[in-house]
Amino acid sequence: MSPITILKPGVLSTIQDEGRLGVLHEGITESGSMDRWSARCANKLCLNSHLDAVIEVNLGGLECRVESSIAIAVTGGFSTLQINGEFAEMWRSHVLHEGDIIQLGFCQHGARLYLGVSGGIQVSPTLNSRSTTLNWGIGGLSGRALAIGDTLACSPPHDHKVRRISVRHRPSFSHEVNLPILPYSQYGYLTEEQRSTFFTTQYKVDERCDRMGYRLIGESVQPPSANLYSEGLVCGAIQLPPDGQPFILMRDHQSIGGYPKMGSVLGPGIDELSQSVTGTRIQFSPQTHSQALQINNGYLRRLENIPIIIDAQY
Amino acid sequence: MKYPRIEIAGVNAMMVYFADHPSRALTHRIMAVTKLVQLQFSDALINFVPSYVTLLVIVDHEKLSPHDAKKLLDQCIDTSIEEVQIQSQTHTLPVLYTKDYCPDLSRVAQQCGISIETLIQQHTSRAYHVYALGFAPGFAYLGELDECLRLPRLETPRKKVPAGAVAIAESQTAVYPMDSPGGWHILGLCPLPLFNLNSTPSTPFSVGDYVQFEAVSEAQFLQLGGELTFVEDCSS
Repeated sequence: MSPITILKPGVLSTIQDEGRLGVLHEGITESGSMDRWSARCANKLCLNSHLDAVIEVNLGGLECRVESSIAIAVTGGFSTLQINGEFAEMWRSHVLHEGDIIQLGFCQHGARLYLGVSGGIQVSPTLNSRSTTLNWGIGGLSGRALAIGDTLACSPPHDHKVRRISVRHRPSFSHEVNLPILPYSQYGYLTEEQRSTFFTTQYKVDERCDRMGYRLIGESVQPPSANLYSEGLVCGAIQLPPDGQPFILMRDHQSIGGYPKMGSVLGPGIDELSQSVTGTRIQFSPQTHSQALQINNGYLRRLENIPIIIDAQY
Repeated sequence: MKYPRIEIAGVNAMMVYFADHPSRALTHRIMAVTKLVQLQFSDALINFVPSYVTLLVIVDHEKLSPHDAKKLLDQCIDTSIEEVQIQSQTHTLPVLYTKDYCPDLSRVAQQCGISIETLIQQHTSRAYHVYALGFAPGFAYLGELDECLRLPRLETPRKKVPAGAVAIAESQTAVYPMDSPGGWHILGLCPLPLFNLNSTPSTPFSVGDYVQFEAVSEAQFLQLGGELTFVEDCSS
């Protein structure tokens, strides 16, 4: 029997893990949880491996019924969680039983919520990953978003202990975000003035932002025209299309493209951007390669060592 | 500019630039280096993407430091390509060139100033080279089209091009492996599935392969498992 039934899928909910690696050369993008930090936290609270699948809820509104005992945890944006109509803590594990109802509110700050469940969401992996790539109908549940009546498999709770993630390790949300970037590629061909424009402009997150990419609006920066042959793309790359408005590639990005690039947003920046809504002001700050490596390594260390508080009295 | 050269392409990524312009010989070289990179980087290789004139290499720095990764990539580039055997496959793809289902066919013939028969003859007259894979899973960029078939992309891309649509734009041709948006001119339909998640790899194409199109009748198309799908008319 499947322990979870979807009563309301919310705005857009998909099954995600840490992405599909090793097949970018076949044109298949990584996908995976947009805010990796929050997804990891949800898994860790349920005593899962970081490779287990969670439900990514865009904006909110997911409701589900529990059909047999499981542990859950909800992380991500600033929102509410209700269990059987009672407000319950996010960033904490809860052991639930048959008939319990989980309701996620809508993000007041941030943009994505993560529901982790004991054992992870168990759908068969596609090319070694459970992540959903909606554009191409790959992975997750038949390559699609969750719908009313979907039933999902997971495992019983490992134990009944209450686990929490301290408030100081949760994302903070701001209308102004500073994104450290590693400049490369066509950045080298920009004039001093263009560079200064790029780094002093407060760009706004446009409404055209989704799992494929985030369009920003602000001062236009047009690199010298170059007829570039399409080349492989990485998540976080900042493209400059002909209109000179930055476009940041996110987890469902295309595998190749020919637009000029300014550089890349670093790992923690992708998480932060994933929780940024339309209108958020973004400013870029350039880092040297060694600074960028340090930021990324620090982030990877923190991801591996998310501190959990265990309340043994429960 | 010096070629080949390695540039930073992300905090854990390097891009090798091989030349200013693509060629079949260059693709051969890129694929030889790609093969070496796969073998040498082993478990530290997160992803790699060969393309027209480049090779993107994404590395797990937990397993291989940036310094060692750069050194290893240098060694892969320096290896003589004669050391690496690359097997290029030739894929023969049946195509139903049909103006009944693909309204672009007559228009393209007209725009190119040739008959539909000549157009089909031209399109099937040579084996195309796979220069890159991307845009969609299994989408192979094939070149190069005969000069007489080169047209700019559609001004407004179609919202939906059916899987199997055989298309041209500028100097390139391709088959859409799955339903997707698309801005190319559709000449016909290929009955064979070109993307299958249950097979490894998921696409028959690899950069450096060759593709030969072959005109088939509607009866043959159906016999090969093809499904007749109307391509929406974009001229209206």
